[in-house]
Amino acid sequence: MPGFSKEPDGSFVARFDCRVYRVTAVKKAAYKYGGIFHILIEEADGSIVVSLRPTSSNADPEEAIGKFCNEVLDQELREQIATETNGVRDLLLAQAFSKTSLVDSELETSDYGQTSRTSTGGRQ
Amino acid sequence: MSASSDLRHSPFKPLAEFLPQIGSYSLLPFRFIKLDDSRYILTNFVGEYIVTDRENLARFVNKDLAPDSELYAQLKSRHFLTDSSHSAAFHLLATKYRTKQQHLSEFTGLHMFVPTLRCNNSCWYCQVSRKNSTAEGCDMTQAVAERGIEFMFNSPSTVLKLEFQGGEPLLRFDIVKYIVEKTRELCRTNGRAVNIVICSNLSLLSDEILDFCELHDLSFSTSLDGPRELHNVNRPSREFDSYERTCAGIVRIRERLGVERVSALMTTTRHSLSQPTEIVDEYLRQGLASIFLRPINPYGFASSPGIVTSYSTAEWLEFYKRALDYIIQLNVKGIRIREEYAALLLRRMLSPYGTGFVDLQSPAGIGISAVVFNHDGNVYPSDESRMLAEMGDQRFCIGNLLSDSYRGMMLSDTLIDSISQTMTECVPCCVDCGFQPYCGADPIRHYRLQGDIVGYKPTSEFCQRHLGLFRHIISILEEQSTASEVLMNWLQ
Repeated sequence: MPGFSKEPDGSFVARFDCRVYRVTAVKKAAYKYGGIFHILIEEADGSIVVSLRPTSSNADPEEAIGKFCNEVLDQELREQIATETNGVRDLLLAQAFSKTSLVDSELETSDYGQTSRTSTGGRQ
Repeated sequence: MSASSDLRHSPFKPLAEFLPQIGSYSLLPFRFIKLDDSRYILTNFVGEYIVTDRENLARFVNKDLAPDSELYAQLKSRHFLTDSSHSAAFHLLATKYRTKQQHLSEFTGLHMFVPTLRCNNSCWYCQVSRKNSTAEGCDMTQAVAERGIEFMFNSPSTVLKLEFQGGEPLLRFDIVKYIVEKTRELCRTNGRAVNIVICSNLSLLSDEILDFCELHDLSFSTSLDGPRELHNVNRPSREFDSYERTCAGIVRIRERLGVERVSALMTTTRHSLSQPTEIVDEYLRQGLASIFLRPINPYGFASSPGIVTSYSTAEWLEFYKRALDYIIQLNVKGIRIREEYAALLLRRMLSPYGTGFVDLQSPAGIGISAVVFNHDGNVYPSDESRMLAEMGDQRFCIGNLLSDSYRGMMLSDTLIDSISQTMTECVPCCVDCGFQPYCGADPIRHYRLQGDIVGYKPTSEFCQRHLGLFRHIISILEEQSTASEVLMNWLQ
């Protein structure tokens, strides 16, 4: 369980063990909480150190810090899923569109005026 | 002989022998998001979903899920995991994904014409910045209309949708007639289908107009904000009779053209928030079987200080949920009425097909799903970008019908650059959101409210609104069987 502490200036510091959490997971959680905290991420002594200073719109910073830590957990899980499934996802996309022509070669080369005359019977 | 002794002497091995070992499965791509404090929604590659708790989610991802559990069977049947070397699940997923994206190959279906920006109503929240009914220089010429029709027939779409927007289009019924007649003629020779809708306050309906609409199979969409007092406060006319005129128009169209040929939508103002059931009752009183509950859009006169912020997203969601729950209860009692936005979201969530709704596409539907021909010939990739232009910001104008080519406009940097930034599959926050398969990008709204096409999703009202809507609908589907049946019927 990550720990967090409250600083004298009202900001918070949360520490995440680098052996347990990926920096990407912490960054994604930080992005999501950017509306209610000003956030700085650093690495020190095998930990990802996150400094969070509440913005004026943050009514309950201590509650939000707890949610932030849970969000990091969720983001870590997402990273785990992405690591295992990204290859399959790319293959699925390739397979899905392999028999599809998304670009109509006729439209690709035609011009407005030409196509107009062909399809609408012509502008005088 | 007992059943157990039957099994003992059975030539077949017990069922457990055929189950995979714990941990012998692979994950397939999926996303997740919280439904509430205890539950998560998991959505697979094509948007099929499962609701479970955090413990089971972690167990599933960490390969600790028992193969004989109910959750395992659900996850396997809905392609969240695979435990065999067969490629059937893979091919099925790819086919489903292709089906969901099929509408992209049709390209632009909806083409909106603005015959005039003039209007005989004075709605204080008018999002298109209408001009008064005697203003000059804001009507479409026949030359512009003709070029607009040519543009429309350049679209590869086999089913076109032609919509007249305003101002009040019936103030220039001559232009409407010209465009309709020419389009019908070209559809006959080109083998295309076209659905035509006039968006009107209905106050100028006449027998001549109805004759024409009957002959050419036209439909009407109108605005009805609620009971008389609410509607007339929101949408004042000179005689303060816009409610009476709109309702009379609805009756005339129903009697002359048929019940299905007129639909209505409402715009939520601060005055609406306390009247969700009264608004729905008004729709029933007018014989309407559907209602579209919309928040106010931050464009035109509605962008004046105080109007957009006159209620919060949370207040609108509360209003919407009360109205939707009331509509569902009416249906349970046998009174048929459908909320159109919920029906649209349900189609995106539960149907195997995609939808062309401009605001919920990835990449964004601007240009791909719709284009607007303004009265002056300027072309915009959505109605909202036209509204923005009327506020003086031409950022999304892709050209002019009188001077630019179809190819030049549809391949313009303005359009392509905007679209290329709106793939929610790789936009921050959206990329991991469990609702990504159902949601979409609204670059114009984010640009308008946050000054950025992509937008910052944690504080985006578009994002908050849709998170609330998806969560509410899934909660109903999961917890209320009778209400769930009503919603499922809206898919048909």
